[in-house]
Amino acid sequence: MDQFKALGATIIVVSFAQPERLAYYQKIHQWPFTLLADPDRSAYSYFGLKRLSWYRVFSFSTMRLYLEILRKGRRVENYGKDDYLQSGGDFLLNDKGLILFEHRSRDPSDRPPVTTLLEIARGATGKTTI
Amino acid sequence: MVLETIPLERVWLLDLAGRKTNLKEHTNNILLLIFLRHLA
Repeated sequence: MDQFKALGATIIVVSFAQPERLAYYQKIHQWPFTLLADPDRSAYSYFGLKRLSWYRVFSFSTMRLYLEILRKGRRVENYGKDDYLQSGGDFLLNDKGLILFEHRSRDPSDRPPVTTLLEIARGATGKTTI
Repeated sequence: MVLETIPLERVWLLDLAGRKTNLKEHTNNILLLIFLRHLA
């Protein structure tokens, strides 16, 4: 997080939950980034983030991911009924809206490494972090 | 699907108070945009 801030990057996390539910979640977790809601999923759709199939969501790699999370002692919070099939994604853009990097998750465990995102952000800003 | 440039001012979202906002209002330099799957 600090490395992105040092590059002058803004981090926005988008959820399709209703704003009031996100506000409750943010009050508990106090995430250090901007949290925005997309309940009608228009932004999800615009960025090509579709609903996954059941076999993608409950794949072997996903089960392995959740087992790892449970093994680390994290518990799964229950925030009510949720759409487990909605895919996620990660995008890096500059201030002109140019897409520097795009990744649409094919299953829940499919996210790009933070090091990859940092490397691309550094390249775009011409900065190196200390 | 390939995206090249998107109009940040046309991507509308809601802040935690339920007010409409767009990505342009939040972007100064580089924007890392993370779309969640679900909250749990």
